Amino acid sequence: MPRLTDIILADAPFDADAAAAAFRKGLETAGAIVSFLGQVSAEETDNPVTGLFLDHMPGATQASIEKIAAQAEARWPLLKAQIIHRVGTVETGQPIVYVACAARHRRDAFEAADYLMDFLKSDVLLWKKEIRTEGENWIEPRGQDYDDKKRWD
Amino acid sequence: MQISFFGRLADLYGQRAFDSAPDDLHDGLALRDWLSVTQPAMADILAQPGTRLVINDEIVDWETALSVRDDIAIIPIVSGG
Repeated sequence: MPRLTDIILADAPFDADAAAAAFRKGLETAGAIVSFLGQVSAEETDNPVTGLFLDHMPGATQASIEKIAAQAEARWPLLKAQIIHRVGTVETGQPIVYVACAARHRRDAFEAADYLMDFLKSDVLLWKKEIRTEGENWIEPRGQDYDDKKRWD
Repeated sequence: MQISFFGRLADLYGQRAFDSAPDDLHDGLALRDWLSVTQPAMADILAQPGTRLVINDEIVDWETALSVRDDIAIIPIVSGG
């Protein structure tokens, strides 16, 4: 169980700027705060993605995120971390994931945020469906996601 | 015995939960075999190695024994966040 990481599975749009401001509060001892915001990207095609649907298992999905957060906490001397992940339907342009890591030194904060994102992309119990103007399709994991994760072996 | 489906499997079944699996399916392998016959649209995904059995929020081996008191789910390979 992670001790320093706040994890939120959000079933409605969240304000990443407000989350970032709240995260910084009380972090005077941090020399570095690194954050990553992922959002659903729009496409310019004949049949563009209009959004994503993220299916999840409330207890097990939370536990799978807690597991990778605990791994990050064991690997880097973090002062605090936060993971906010959307579930449900997320429209293009909306935030889908926010990760923030605070540490005394920048390298630890950078690497921990990078690690968390790589594992969020490959190990978390989420099932993602692209919703297009015409039709929808479930997304299979990409080889690149597994390759990104291997960087941390 | 109630079984929940997630991701692509929930779409294939048309709803989240299936509540009429026989109570005498003794383990995950028997459940998977029974579903492959009674829900043929799911058979290909059920046969994939990335498809897993979840009991009480824990991913377990297909050989794991089942109880009607368990919270049972079948999940396809995850796509991550």
